Amino acid sequence: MMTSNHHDHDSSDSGRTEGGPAGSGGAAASDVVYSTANEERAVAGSAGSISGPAGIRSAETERESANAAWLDDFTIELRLLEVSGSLIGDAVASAGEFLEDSGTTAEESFGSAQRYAAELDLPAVAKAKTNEVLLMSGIGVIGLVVLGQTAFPLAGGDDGLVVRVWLLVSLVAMALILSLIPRAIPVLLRARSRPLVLGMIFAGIVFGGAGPVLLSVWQGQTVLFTVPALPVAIAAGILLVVPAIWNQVRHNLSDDPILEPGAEPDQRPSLGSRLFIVVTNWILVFYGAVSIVLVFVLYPDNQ
Amino acid sequence: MQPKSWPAEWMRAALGLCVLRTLAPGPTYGYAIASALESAGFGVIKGGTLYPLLTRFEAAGWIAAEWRPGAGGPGRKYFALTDSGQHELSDQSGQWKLFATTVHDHLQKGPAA
Repeated sequence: MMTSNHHDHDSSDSGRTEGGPAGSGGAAASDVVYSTANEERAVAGSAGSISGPAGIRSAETERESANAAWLDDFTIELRLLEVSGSLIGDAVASAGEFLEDSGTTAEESFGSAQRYAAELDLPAVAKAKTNEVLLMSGIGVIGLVVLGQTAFPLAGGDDGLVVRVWLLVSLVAMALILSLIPRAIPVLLRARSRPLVLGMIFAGIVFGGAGPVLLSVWQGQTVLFTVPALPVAIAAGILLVVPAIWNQVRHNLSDDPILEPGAEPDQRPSLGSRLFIVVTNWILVFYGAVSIVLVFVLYPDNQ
Repeated sequence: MQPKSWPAEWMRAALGLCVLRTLAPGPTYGYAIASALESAGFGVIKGGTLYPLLTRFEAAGWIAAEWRPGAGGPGRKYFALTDSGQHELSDQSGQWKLFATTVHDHLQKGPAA
C-alpha cells in the first residue's frame, strides 16, 4: 500500500461532502455520481428555475445535442488526421462514455475537438492516402480530357492537335484545383458551421475564377499552338489508365468504416461493394474508351 | 487547507504515475479514474487530460483496454495494468519517493552550508 492511499481517505473525508466513487467503483457507484453531478449542474446552471424537472430536462437536451455536435466534429478531425476507422470509433465512444458518466459538456471536459484529436496522438494508418487517391483521380481526369481532344484530329486523319485557349485554361485550372483540394478539404470541413468563412471562400472562388472563364468565353477559340496528336494521345491514355491500375493494386478505394468498439469489421466486403469499387475505379477508363470508339465510328469521313 | 487546484506543472509531472496507481486495484474506466483522483485531492481531472495519458500508456504497453458492454448503454472501456505497467508503477513510485524526499529535505534544510 502506498501513502497516497492514506491521503486519499483523508481528503475525501474532509474535503468532499458528496461521496464519489474512489478507485474502481462499479457501474452502480458511478450512477450515484452521475445523478449528483446532474443536480449540481442544474443548480449552478439556472439559478432562477431550478425547481421544475422540465428545466433540468431541457438543459440536459441542450447538453446532449451540443455534445453530439462536438462528437461529430471530433470524428471529422480524427478523419483529417488519417486515423483508422476502428480507432476513431474507439476514441469517439470513449469520449461519449466519459461525457455520459460525468454529465459535463464536451467543451468543458475535452476542450476544442481539433486540439483534443491532435493531443490523443493516435497513429495515422496511411498518411496522405486520401490525397493520393485525389491526385490519382485528378490525373485520370486530365488524361481523359486530353485524350478526348486528340480523338477528333486522329479520327479525321489529322496529325496535329490544335491547342486553343479554352483547353489550356481548363487544364491549368484542373491542375490548380487538384493541388489545392487536399488543402481545401480541411478548411471547408472546419468552416461548415461558419457561414462568414464559407461566404468568403465562395467569393474568392467566384472572383478568382471569373478571369479564366471570361478569357475562355471571349478568346476561347484562339489557337495557341499545334502539337502532334498521336504522341499526346498515347501519353493521355497512359495518364488515364495508370491511376486506375495504381488504385486497383493498392486497394486505395477500399473504404475504412468507423467501427463501434467490439464491432467486427466485415472480413470480406459484399459482392455489391466490391463491384462498386471496381466500377468506380475503372469508370474513367471505360468512359474514355467508349468516347474514342464512338468518335472513330461516328466521324463523318469514316461512315 | 487544500488549494482548489494544484499548479499545472506539478500535475503534469505527477498525474501519469497517479493514474497508474489508480489502476493498481483492478481494471477500471475513465470517469472512475477521474473521480478517484478527484477524491484523492487532485482536483477535477478533465477527460481531455486523462484520455491522452491513457492512450499513451496503452501504446507503451503499460495498460490494456477492454470494452465491457453496459446495461443497454454503449458500454465502458476498462483499463487494466499489464505486467510491464506494474513494473513501471513500482519503479516510478520508488523514484518519486526519493524525489519527494529530496525536495522535502531541501525545503526544510536549505542549501548545505
